Amino acid sequence: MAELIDQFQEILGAERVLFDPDQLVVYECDGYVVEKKTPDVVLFPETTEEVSAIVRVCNTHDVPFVPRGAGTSLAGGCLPVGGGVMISLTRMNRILEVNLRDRYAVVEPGLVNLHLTRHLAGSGFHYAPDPSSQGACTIGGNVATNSGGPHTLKYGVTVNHVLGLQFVAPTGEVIELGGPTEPLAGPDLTGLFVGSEGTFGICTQVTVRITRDPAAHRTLLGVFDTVQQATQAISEIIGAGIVPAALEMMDQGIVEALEAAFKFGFPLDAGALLLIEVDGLEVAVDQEARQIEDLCLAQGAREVQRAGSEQERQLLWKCRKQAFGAIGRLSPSYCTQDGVVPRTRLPEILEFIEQAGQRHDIRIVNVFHAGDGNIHPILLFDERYDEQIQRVLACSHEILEKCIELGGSVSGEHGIGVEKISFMHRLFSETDLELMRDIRSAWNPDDRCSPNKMLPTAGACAQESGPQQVHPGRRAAL
Amino acid sequence: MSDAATGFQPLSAGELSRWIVETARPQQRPFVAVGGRTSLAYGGRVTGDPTRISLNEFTQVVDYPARDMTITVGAGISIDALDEILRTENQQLPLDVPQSQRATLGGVLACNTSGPRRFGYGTLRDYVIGLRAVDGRGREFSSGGRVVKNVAGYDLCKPLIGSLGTLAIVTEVTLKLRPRPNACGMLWMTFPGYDDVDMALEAFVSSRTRPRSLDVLSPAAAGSIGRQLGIEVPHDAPALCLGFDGLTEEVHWQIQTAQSELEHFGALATVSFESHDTTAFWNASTEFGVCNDGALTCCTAVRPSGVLELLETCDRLQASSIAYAGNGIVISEAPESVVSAEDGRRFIEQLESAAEPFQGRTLVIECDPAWAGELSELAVPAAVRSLGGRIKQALDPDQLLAPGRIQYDLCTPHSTASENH
Repeated sequence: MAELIDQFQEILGAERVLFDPDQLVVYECDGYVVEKKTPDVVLFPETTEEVSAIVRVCNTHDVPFVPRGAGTSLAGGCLPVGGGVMISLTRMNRILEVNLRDRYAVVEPGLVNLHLTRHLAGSGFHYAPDPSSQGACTIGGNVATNSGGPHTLKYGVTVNHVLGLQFVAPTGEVIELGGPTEPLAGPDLTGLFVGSEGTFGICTQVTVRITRDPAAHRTLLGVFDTVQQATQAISEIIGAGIVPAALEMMDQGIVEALEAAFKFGFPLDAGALLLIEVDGLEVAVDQEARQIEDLCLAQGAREVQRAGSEQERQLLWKCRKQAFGAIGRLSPSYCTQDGVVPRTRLPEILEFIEQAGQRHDIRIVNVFHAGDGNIHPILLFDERYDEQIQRVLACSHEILEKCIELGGSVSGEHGIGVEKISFMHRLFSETDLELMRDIRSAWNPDDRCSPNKMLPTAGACAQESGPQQVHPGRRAAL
Repeated sequence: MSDAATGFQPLSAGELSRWIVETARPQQRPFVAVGGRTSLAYGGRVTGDPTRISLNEFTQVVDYPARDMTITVGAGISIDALDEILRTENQQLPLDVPQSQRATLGGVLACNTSGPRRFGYGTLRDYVIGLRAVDGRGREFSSGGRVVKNVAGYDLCKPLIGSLGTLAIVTEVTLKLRPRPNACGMLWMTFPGYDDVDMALEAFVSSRTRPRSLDVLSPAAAGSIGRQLGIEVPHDAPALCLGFDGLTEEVHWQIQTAQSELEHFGALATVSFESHDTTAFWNASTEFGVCNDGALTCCTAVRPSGVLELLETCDRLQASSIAYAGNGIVISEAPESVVSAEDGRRFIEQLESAAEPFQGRTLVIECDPAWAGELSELAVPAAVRSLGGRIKQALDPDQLLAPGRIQYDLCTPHSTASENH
C-alpha cells in the first residue's frame, strides 16, 4: 500500500491523496447506509490523463478501483467492495462547451446536475434530467445509473440526453464514443455505457443534449382522501392521452414531514396529494390543465389547487425534491426502495406496501414518480438497532418481489449497486445474466473496475435467496 | 419449417435458437435476418451466401396494455401494421420509416431508421424499453422489460439498435408509445439562398415555437416533394419547412408565430398547410431518395450548424438534397452524371470532405446493386469498431451473423467468460 500511495502522490501530489483512516470514514458508504466499507485510499484527479494514470497503476498492482461522484447513490453504487482505490470525480466539474445552435453541452463528470441548468439559465435551454438530488448529484453519477427524476415522464431519462462520452476504460485507455453529430448506423455503445454503474470504466467527459425551456407551466396540486382515488386519477389522466411533464404522488405520511419542514399549507388529513405539472405553449397548457382538473375531480379529488405564481410553483417543487431531507423529522434513518410497476398496477403495489409495513411493523411513507409507475416507499427505522435493519430488509425484499410479480422491475433509476444484486436472478434468466457477464468481461476483463456491482457472480444463485443474504457487498467486504 | 440452403423461416425463437446450435454453428453456415428488405444497402455488403432468416411468423401482438402506453410485438411486424393497431387506441410510435408497408420493426431497429420528426420525437433509442433476441451462439435472451423506467442490468437493447443485425436477431420488442396528436400543420418558406436560411435558423434557436420537424430542402428537392404533395408550393429557391403538431389552436399559433419570426430574413414566398398535407410532406420527406430509380443516395450526418454548407455542396454537385436540419442529417441523391461505382466513390468523397469540418460521416442508403461491393461500407468510428468488436466476439464468436455488414475489429478468437465458466 505504501508503494501504491507513493505512486499516486507522484501523479496527483500529496494533497489530492487521502489515506488517513479518519479521513476515509467519510467515504465508507453512500446514500445506502445499510452497508459500509472504507476504501484504502481516495484520490481526487482533475484531468482525464490523471484518471488514466491512476487506473494503470491500479492494474499494475492488481488493485480494485471504484469511481465516486457525490455519493448520493441509494443502492451502494459507490461502495468499495473489498476495499481498494476510490476515485472521486468531484474536482472534474467544469463546463467545457455550450453550443445553443447545435443544442449540446460538454461537461466533466463531477459537475453537479443542477449547476448545468443554472449555467444555462436565461439562454432558453436547460438540462432536462432532474433527479430530486440534483442539487448534489453529479452528471457522471447520473450517467452511471441512468438517472431519472420527476420530469422523465415527458422528457425521458439520462440516456435520452447523452450524445457522447469520453471514458477511461478499465485498461487505462481513453475512449471516446458518440458526440454532437447524430450517429448513423452502428451499435449504440454510448447507450450501453449509460446505466452500467461504473463497471465499464470511468466517465471523464459527457456530451449532453440541452433542451428548450418550456414556454409555460401549469402546476397543480390534487388533494385526495385516499391513495386509491389518486392512483385512479393517474390512470385516467394517462388514459386520456395526456402526458404531463411530471406527475408525483405524496402520501399522508410524507406530507406530515413536509409540512413540518416547509409549512406550505399542505392539508394534513389528505390521504394523498398529486403534484401534476403540464408544460408547453401558453396557448395549450390551460386546456390540458383544465382537462386534468376535471379528471381529478371526477375521481373524487377534494380540490385541485393551481400554483398562482412562479414562486409558488418553485416552492411546491422544493417540497417535492427536498422531501427526503424532511424525513429526519420522522426517524433517524431511512431506506428507500426504487421499484417500478406498470402504472395501471399502482393501486395494487401501494396497497401491498401498506400491508407489508404492517406485517413487519415498519412505518412506510411514500413520495414517488407516479406517472412512470416508479415507486419510492421510504422505510423508517433506526440503524443503531440491527433488529430493525433486519425487518427493513425483509420488508424491502417483499416489496421488490411484488414489483416483479406485477410485471415491473426492482430499479427505475437508482441502479442495482450492491443492494439489489440478489434480485437479478429473479428478473433475468441465467442466460440473460451470462450474456451480461460476457459483455462486462469483454470491456472489463480483469474485473478490477467497480467489482461486485450489479451482477451476481456466476453460479452464486443458491447463496443469494433471501433477505438474510442480501448483503453480498458486506460479505465480500469482511 | 424448411431449412433450405438459402432461406429459413422459424416459427419461434426456440426454433431459431435450435437451428443456430444444431445446424448453423456446426456447419459454420453464415446467416442474416431479413425483414422487408428495404435497407439491404445500409452498411457493408453481406459477404458469402448466408442463409436468410425470415421473421414473417413473428408478427403477433404479445401484450398491449394501452393505459400503460406500452406494447410488446413480434419483430417481424410491419411498421404500417403496427401503426394500425396503435391507431385504435389513438397512440403512435412516432418514427418516420421509408416503405413502411414493408419495413419491419426488427429491421428498423437494426438500422436505427428515423426521418424528419426525429427532431421533435427522437429515435428508437427513446422508445425501445425491452426486447427478446437470439445471439450468434443460439442463446435466447431478453433485456429491459415492460416498464418505462428500468435500470436493472445492462441495457442490451442499445447496442442492438443500429447494429445491422450483426450481434443478434431480435424476435420481440417492447415499445414506449406516445399519444397521437389532434392536429398537425406546416409552414413552408423559401429564401433567396442558404445563407439566408442559415441566419433564419440561427435566430430560430430562440423561437417561441416548438416544431416537431425542421427541414431544409434544396430547390430540386422542393420541386419533387411539392409535386408529390399535389399542392402548389414555392420551389425555385431553398425551402425551410417547419412541422408542428398538438392541439389545433397550438398548431395554428405556431405557424403564425414562426412566420412572423422568420419572414424578415428575406423570405421570398410562404405557404402553410394543414394536417393531411403535413402528413403527406412527412411521408414524402421520409421517402426521399428511396426507390428513386436513381443510382446512389447518401445520408450524411454533421453537426446541425454544418447542414447549410453541405446543402450548398450538394447543389454544386447537382445533387438533389434535403436536410433534417435540426439534427444535422442530409439526404442527397447523386446526379444522373454518376453512372459508375467510381463516379459514386468520388461523389461520396466530396460529401465527406464537406462534412469533415463538422465532425461528419456518410452512409450509403441506396445504390445500384452492382456497385454495392465497392461503395457500401459503414464508416464506423474506431472506438465502435474496437469495443463493438468485443461484444461481437462475445455474442457471435464464430462470426456467422451478417458477415461483412459492419467491419468490427476482431482480434484472435478467445473464449468468453461464459465459455470458460
